[in-house]
Amino acid sequence: MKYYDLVSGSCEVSADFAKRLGFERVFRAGVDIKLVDSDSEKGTSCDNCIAYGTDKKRLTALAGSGARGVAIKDMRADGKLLSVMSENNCILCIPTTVFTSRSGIERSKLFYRAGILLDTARKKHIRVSFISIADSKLHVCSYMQLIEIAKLVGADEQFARNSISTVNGELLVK
Amino acid sequence: MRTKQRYILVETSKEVHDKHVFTERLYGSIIEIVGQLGYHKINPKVIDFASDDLFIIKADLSGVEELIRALTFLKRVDNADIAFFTLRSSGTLRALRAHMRVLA
Repeated sequence: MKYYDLVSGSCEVSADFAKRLGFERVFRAGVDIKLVDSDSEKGTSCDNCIAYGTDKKRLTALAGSGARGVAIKDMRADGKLLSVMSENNCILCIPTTVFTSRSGIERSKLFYRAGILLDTARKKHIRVSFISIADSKLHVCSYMQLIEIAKLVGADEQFARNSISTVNGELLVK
Repeated sequence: MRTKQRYILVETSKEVHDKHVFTERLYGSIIEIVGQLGYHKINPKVIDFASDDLFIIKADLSGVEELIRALTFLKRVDNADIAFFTLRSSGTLRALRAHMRVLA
């Protein structure tokens, strides 16, 4: 199985390190694929990009305008956004850096919300991807660690592996 | 009855110099994340350092997932930022040592 990951543009992961982590390739946002921060960047056009943020209205607009994937930073499920994503065959990206960069009760709440988000997405037949979007080497994960985070969110082993290989491949490999 | 073990090859984001002190602090940090009961289930033990940033850690088979999760969320040891990358796991030490020699 070939695994893929996406990190932030500021985080450099060499091909050799990516292989050691078990990935076929680690993509960089802004270099290999466009990552639109919906909270700070204006405009609703996002062809073949990944939309990332908390503002559900803007994320919904971006999902409807051709975004390949949508990553919801605060993990709050929004019915309208998920419906638009389902209609447009948009992938739900779960960024693992939000879990690794927090601790204590804040992380526990995020896991709870992510579990609900994952369940709702699966009911709506939305494909789910787990990517790190790490902004530093400190938050980069190996494929084994991504699988374990996916399992903590509520995925089973097969679903987690498929998310990190097939779905991430569809999301990142053109 | 003998408990089945699993060995995990781990890389750290920065080099570790005092390995004995680091190992003790690592156990303490794992307890902070998984708690005393979780620690008992994992029963971790650092087996071998191949280099300053590469080591093998052993865990009971039933606690191996907990250990990988703990290492994922462990970002500070001994008041310093550090990340742990679990590279490979194996049921035998020999297979992991062979892989470790290639990396070291």
